[in-house]
Amino acid sequence: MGVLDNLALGLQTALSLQNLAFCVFGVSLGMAVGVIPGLGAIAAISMLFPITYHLELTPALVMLAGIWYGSSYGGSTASILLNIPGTPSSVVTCIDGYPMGQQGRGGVALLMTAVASFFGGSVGILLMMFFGPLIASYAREFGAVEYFALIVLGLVAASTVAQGSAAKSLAMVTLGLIFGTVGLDMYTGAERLTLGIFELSDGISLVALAMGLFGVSEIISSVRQVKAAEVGKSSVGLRAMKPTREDVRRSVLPMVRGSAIGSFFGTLPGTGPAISAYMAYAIEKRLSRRKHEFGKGAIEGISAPEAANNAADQTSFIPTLTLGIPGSPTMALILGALIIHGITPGPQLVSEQAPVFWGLIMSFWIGNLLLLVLNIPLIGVWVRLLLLPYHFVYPAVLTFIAIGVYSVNNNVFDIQVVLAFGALGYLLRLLDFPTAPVLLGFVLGPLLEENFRRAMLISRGDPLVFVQHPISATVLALAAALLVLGAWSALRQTRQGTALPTPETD
Amino acid sequence: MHMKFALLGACAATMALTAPARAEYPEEPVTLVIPFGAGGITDLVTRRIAEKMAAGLGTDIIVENRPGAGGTIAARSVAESDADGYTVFVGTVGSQVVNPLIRDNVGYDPVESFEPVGLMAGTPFLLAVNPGLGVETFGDLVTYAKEHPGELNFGSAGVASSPHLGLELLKYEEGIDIVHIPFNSGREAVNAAASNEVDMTIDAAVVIMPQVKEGLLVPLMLGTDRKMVAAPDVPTNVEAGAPEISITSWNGLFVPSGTPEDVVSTLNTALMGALADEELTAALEAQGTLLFTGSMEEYDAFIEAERTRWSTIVEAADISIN
Amino acid sequence: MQDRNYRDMIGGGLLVLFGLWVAWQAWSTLDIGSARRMGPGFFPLCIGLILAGLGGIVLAGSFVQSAKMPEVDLRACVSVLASLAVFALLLETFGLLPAIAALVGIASLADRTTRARQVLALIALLCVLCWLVFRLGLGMPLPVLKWPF
Repeated sequence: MGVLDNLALGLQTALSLQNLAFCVFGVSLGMAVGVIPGLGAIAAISMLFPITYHLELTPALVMLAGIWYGSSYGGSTASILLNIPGTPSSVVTCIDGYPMGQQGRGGVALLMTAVASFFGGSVGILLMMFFGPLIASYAREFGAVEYFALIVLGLVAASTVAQGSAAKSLAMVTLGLIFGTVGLDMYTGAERLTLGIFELSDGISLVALAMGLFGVSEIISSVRQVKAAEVGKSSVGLRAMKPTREDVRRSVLPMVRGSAIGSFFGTLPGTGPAISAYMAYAIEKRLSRRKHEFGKGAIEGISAPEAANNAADQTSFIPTLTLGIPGSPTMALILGALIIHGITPGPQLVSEQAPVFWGLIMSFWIGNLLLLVLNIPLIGVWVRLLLLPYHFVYPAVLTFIAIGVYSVNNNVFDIQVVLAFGALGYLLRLLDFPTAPVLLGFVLGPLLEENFRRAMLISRGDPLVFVQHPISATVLALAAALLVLGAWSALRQTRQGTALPTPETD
Repeated sequence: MHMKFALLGACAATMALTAPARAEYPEEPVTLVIPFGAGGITDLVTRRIAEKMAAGLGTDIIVENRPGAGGTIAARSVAESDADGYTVFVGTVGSQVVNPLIRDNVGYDPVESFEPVGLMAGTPFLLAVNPGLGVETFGDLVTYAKEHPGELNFGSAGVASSPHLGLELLKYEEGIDIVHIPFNSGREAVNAAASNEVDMTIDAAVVIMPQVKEGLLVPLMLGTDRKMVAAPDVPTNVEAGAPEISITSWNGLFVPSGTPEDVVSTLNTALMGALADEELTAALEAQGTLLFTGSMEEYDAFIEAERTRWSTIVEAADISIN
Repeated sequence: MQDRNYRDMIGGGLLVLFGLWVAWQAWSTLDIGSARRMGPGFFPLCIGLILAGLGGIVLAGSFVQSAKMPEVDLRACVSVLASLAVFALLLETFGLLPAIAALVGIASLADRTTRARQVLALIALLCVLCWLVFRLGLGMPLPVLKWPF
């Protein structure tokens, strides 16, 4: 079947009244849960999951998918207005988004993130449409050796996110690595760092960590300082949302790069929108000529990550549908919906279930378009809600965080995890440590170790295997080059007398 | 006059006191606790059966997912809940047999803390190899393994998962040496086998057969003696000459011990009613899951047999999670 | 230098201690193995040591710099964290609504300017909202109000 035929088939399916209705419902709900910190796609999808038993496959998928990518649209709202991430994938948007909000450019930030999200989503969908099966067959070539090399590259590339002392940044990445090891060891079943607490055998939940470290700690810091109502209320009228030419010009390439990075990381199982956003931010900062502006309201700092997380949202369907490997717990639920209806994911899905696959893709287009259009007037609504006096907002946010985190596993332990990380996050802020790199270590650390050990197991302890596999050899060489480049430029800066970063004085 | 009132009062008091014991079970919705997240095989099967059971029980059934620690968290929480028949556990071979054997501190006793209601369903597993190995039958595989000890790689869904246990069973019964490579999930392991990163794997028909259809895997044997609709041409373990290789992921309903007998019996009747549904049986069988149709004694005997079998294997293979 | 950077001293010191603790945990309770055949303890041991090393760098740097000590908002910290703890305690025993009430009530203590009337109004609003959204809308299997005695 030609591509055009497929598109027609898909459009026909997607535009049926039922599918359209579920699409609208899904993306609206997704956006809503994305906006609210603590409540994310996983909470909403977990709770709505039983409904999928009674629905047909396509409307069920369309709805769940809508919630999934819709939440990445909404996540940046709270990041920009409250410095609290709406979802883990919007953590890095806080870094430059919140300062933009404080500078009275909140409206512009909100609009640009919507546009970037649409851009990223579109790129992801295009890749799915034209290269989906191809990417799947490539993914098959990726074994533990290749994954390890890629993660190394990712870690090296992203090691320059935070400002200030490099030692502090790296320490935070390492801290994240440590948190990532908590739980049962995959290869021996030994308990690592769980202190005998049963609920930690499965590790620390990403949502709980992100909400605690970034959300609760932010609330504690800001309770008495922020009078959010005073800042930027006037800056979110429709006129004030209009970005300047400069804004648009500066955002184009970051969006492209972010989409590329997001699309790529979306296809790797275990990585997802959160890490894609982080990578995009880090690489943007590394490549930018305006490095010093990052962290203070640089528009590239929100366009790139927001494009990345939405691109990753879309491309993460590729391994899920064609290999049956969900990249994240939320994808696992969506996979479950497929299985309930007797559809087995696999390479044959695209051809055997053409109406479902193409219907889903066209619904992605419709959904993304809808979100872009909906976001604009809704920006005003969210802003009015979130800029209410802080003493109303923060208890509400805390409530949603508590309920949202609980709902994932129906376990109060997760709330205690949020508490612990909230305390930790506050402590780190007081001690002037950047918290974002913890996320990097937390997500990539376990993947690094897992793949290294699997590669070693399969090769029976032969480290040369990393150089023998061509893909891995290339990637590792790239990583080495980046390392050398980074070290050399740091050395040059010192020689030229550029001041070393000094600790910030409050 | 006063005597009459007193008598009336005494009667009322007696009725009030004994009323709870006479009340019809079930009065409220019953909660089924699943020890895994939504969307897995256990979740699917349970929800389907629960739908049919609710009709027979006469009340709503709420299905709750409580994942964590391989099912131990959910098991513990149900074991500690009230023995009134309103909290029912969907136990699996993991929670009722394996985990207590390999973990030090599960917090419950699989025999003492629970009372079985009935067995629900079992999903037999298949053994499959990568075609690059050049092996066509189970016998060929054993021969190859004996000629190349320690060379073959087996991908499993994780330490102490059913596929892993299946591997250990294989090694024990056939006396062969194969290296265990754990993955995060069954699908990852199967994909690894299909892309030749590992040589072989064990998993449910639902996961393996699509790869077989694409020519990426060769199925060697079913882990059961019943032929499967979902994998029609695959020999059973008896046909392959290895009847002791029996690997099925089963689940059943359990209540906390101390639950009144009539409550257990009501639940059992509703469960049996649901399992007899032909439509359900056909639908699940097409996906490679078989519903159980035995009596309570057969159920008890089955679990005991599983326990004996797996404790031998676990000890022989020295699997532990601490 | 007169002033020391006490903030970084504490920060660096804590990292050193934590890193060493992690490394010790790994060393004493887990199988380390070798670089080629990594045991479960290898990775934690290495990164524990690396963290301690990085902490040491921060610590060393603190002796030659100066910085202000941060202000700790103890009241906010305790009330926010306590509100979460109480919520977790109450949720499954007493149900959603009492838990929300407790959370909002305790968390509001963080901000001295909040008045009792506003807190009560917020509690009422959130209770209704959460009941609508989670119980009715999303069908969460959570008790709304329970009396366990």
